[in-house]
Amino acid sequence: MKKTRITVVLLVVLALVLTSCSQDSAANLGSLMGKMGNNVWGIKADLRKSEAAAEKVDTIDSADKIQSTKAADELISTVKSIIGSDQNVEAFHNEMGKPAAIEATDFKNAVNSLSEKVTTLKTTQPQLAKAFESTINSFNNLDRSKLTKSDVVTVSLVNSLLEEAGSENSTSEAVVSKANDVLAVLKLTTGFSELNVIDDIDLSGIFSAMSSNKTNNKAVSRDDDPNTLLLALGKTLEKIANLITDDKGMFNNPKFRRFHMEAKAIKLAYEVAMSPYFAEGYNLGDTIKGVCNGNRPKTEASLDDLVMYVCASVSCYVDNISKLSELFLERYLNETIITALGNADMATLKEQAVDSMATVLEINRQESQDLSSDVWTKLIKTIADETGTDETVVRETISTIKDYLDNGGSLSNILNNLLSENQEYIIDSAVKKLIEDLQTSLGKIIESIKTEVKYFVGTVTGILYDSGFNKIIDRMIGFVDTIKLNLDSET
Amino acid sequence: MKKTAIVFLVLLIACTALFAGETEPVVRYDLDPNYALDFTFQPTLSRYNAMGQSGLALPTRIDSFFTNPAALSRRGFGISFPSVTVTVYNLEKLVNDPEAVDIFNKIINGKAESGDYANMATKVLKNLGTGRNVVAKIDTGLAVKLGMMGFGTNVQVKFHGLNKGTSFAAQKVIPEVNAAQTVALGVKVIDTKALTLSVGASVHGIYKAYYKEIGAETLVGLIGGDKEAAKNLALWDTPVMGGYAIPFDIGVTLGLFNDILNISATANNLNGTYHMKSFSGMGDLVNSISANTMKPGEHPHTTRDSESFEIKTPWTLNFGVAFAPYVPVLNPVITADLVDMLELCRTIGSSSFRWSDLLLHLNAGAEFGLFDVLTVRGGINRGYLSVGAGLNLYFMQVDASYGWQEMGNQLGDKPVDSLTIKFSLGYDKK
Repeated sequence: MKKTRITVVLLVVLALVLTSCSQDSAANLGSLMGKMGNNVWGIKADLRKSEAAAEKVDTIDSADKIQSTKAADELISTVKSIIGSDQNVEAFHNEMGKPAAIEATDFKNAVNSLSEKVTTLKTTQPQLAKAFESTINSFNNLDRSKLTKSDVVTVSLVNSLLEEAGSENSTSEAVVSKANDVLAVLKLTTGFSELNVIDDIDLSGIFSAMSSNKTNNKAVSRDDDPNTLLLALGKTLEKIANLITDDKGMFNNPKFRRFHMEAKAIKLAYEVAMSPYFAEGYNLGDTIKGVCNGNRPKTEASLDDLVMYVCASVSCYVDNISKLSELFLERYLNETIITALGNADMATLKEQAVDSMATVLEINRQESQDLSSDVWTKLIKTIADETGTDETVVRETISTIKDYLDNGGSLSNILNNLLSENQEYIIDSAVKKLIEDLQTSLGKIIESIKTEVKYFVGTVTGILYDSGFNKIIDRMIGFVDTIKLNLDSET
Repeated sequence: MKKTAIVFLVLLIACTALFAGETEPVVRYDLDPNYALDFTFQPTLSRYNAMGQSGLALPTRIDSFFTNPAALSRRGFGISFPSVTVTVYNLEKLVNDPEAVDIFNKIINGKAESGDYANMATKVLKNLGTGRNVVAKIDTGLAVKLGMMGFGTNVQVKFHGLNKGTSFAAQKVIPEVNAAQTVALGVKVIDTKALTLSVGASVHGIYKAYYKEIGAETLVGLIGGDKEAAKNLALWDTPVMGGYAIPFDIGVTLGLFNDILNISATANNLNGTYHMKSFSGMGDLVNSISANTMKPGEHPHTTRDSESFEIKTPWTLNFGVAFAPYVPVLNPVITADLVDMLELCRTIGSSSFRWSDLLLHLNAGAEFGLFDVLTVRGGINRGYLSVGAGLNLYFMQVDASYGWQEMGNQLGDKPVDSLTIKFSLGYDKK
C-alpha cells in the first residue's frame, strides 16, 4: 500500500515536471509565478528618496543656483543615496526628463558664465579647458524653450567639475573624485545613459547561430560575419533613434542636440575621472587597459564605463557636422532609419541605416561648412547636372539655407515655407548626392572605424567562448584610439 | 654587551621587515550601503520558506531548533541523515522565456550543445539584474534531535550576484561557503496542562569563506572549457576571505492550552562577528588550516600574507505565534511571525515611520497535512506569497517551496522568486 502511494505521488510529480516543459504550460506557469510576485498588501517601493533628489533638482532654478557648487554637492549627495534602489533610480530618471523650472535667460546666463570660467582655465590647463569648452558649446546648442531637469543637472555638474578643476586649492584626487561623482549622477539623469550596448546585444541569437553552425559543421563566424554587426547594434540603434525622434517617430532636432550634449558631458567626466592614468602624453589605450585590468585605485571605472565612454566618443563625432549637415541627417534619418525601424525591415536597416549612418556622422566639418570646398563644388556640379539646373542656382539655394540655419532658422520653416518646389527638388537631390559622395570621399576613415566596430562587436559575441574580456578590451582600446586619432587629426 | 644586543635587535627587526611578504588585500562586500551583501548564516528551511518564512513558534520538525532552540523542550527523537537542499532563484524569468524553456527541454532530452549551456548560463546571470541577488544555494546537513538536545552540521554554498553597473558585463558572482556545527538545548521550566514555558539556547560554530568577485563572463567562459582552468580559478587564482564566528541564539516559548497556541520570542545571531583573514586562494586557506594539504603544482601562484579584519552580522529579535488546533486528518497549523523587531523599533521613533512599515515585518503562513504524510503550505512573507508541499514518509522527507522575497534595499524594490527542494533521509515526525 505504501509503495503504491509513493509511486502515485512520484508519478504526479513527474507528470507536473514534464507538462511544465511544454511551451504553453510553461507560459501559464510563468504567468502564475509572475502574479505571485505582486505584493498582496500593495506595498510599493518607498520613493521618497528619489522625490527628495528631484526636489533638489527643482531648487536649481536660477543662474546663481546652477553655478553654486554647494547646490551641486548637495544634489550629488542626495542622488548617490538612491543608487542601488532600482525603483528609485527609475523614478528619478523619469522625473529628469520633465521640463525644468529654470527660465531660458537664466540658463543662458549660467552657460555664458561657464564659458568665462573656461577662459580662465585656458591659461593654466589648456588641454582640459579645451574639453570643457567643447562641452559648454554644446549647452548653447540646446533648445532653451524645451529645457529638461536633466539639462539643468548636467550644466550644474559640469560647472561644479569646472570649479574643482580650476581651483588653486584643489588636488588632482579631489578633481577625480568630483568627476566620478558627476559621472554617477549623469548615469542616472541623462537619456544617453539608457544606451546599454552589451545588454542590448542579442546574445541568444548569436548562441543559436553558433549552435546551428556547429550542427551544420560550419565554422562559427564572428568578426567577419556581416550579420553580426546588425545583430549586435540593431537594438542600440533603435534606442538612439528613440532618443532623437519625437512621439511620431520623426527626427527631432532639440532631442538630437540634447543627446549630443549629454554624450559630451559624459565623455568629459570620464576623461577627467581617468586623468591620473594619462601618462606623459595622451595614451588612452594604456589608461583603459589599466582600468580594465583592475589597476584602478582612484577610479571606479568598469567595463560598463568603457563601453559607455566608447558610445560617448562615437556620439561626439556628431560635433563634426554643421547645421546644414543636420538637415541632411534629419532627412536621411527620417527616410531610411526610421522607416526601416518602423517596418521592422532588418535587411533595410543593415544596408541603409547601419553603414550609411556611420557615414553621415563622419561628415567633415571643414568641408561641409565651406561651400567652395572640393566636396561641395563636385556635389553642386553633380546636382546641377542631374536636375538640369544652373550651378549658380544650386549654390545660391544651398547658401540661402545655410545662412538661414546659421542664423537660427528652424528646419520646419525651411521645409514648409522657405523652399520653392524647385528648390526642394534640388535639396532632395543634394541629400542623396551628399550621402553618396561622402560615402566615397570619406570612405577610408569610415572603413577604419567600421572595421574596429566590427571587431569590437565580433569580440563581444565571441567572449563566451574565450577567456574573459581581454580581447574585447583590446579591440575597444583600438577602437577608442582610432577615434582619438581622428579627432586629433581634425583639431 | 647591551650595545651588541641592541644592534642585534635592530638587525633582527630590519631583516623581519625585509623578508615580510606582500599582503593579500582584503576584499569586502558588507560595507557599501547601496550594495552590501548579507553574510548572516541561516540554513535553508524549505518548510519555513513555504510558510512565508514564519514558524518560530512551531516546534514540530527536526529543523525547528535552528531558528528557535526552545523547540527542543518538546523532546522526542529525530534524525536527518543527510539532507540536501537546493534553491534556485529568479526562476520566473526563465519560465517566461520561451527560449530558456526550449534549452531546458534540450538539456532534459540530452540534445543540448555547449552553445545551449552557455546561453542558459548567460540567461541565468543576466536575469540577476543590477544590485545584489542570489544565483543559487546548496545546503547539505545532518541533524539529530535527542530528547532536549539537538545537534546539527551544515554546509552551505551560496552564489551571490552583485552588479554595480548596468549590464551583464558588470555582473559579478561571489561564491560563499559556510560550514557550521550547531549544538542546542531546550528545556521546559513550567510544564502544566494549561501552560508551558520553554527556554532554549543554541550555539553555532561557523567557518565562512567567500571568494573575491568572479566576472559572469569568466564563469560562462568555463562552460565546456578547460577543466584545469576551472580548478585553478577555484583553488589558486581567486583570492578568498575566510574566518569564523560563534554566534548563538536564545528562544522562549510560551505554550497555552496544551500547546495548541504557542507564543515565542527569539534573539538570533547574537555575537555574529566573523574574525576573517585574507588568503590568496582557496588552496592557501586550506593550507592555513592543515599545512601543505594542497599544492598548486606547476600552476604559477604566489601566496601572500594574510590580513585580518572583521565582519559584523546583525542580531535579530523576532516574535512568533503558532496556532495548531487538534483536527484529525488535516492537522492544520497557522503561524505568524514579527521578524527583525529591532529594526521596527528603530523606525517607530523616526519621522520616516509609516504604519505600513509594520507589515514589512510580518510573515504568516498555514499548513495542512493529510495524515501528516502529504502536506500543503502557503504563506505571506512581507506581502509576497509563497507556497509549498511536503511528503513525509517514515524514512524520507521531500519538501518543496516556491515564493518571493525582497532582495532590494527596501520592500518593493527588487522582489526575487526562488524554488527550494529539500530531500532528506531519516526520521522526522511531530
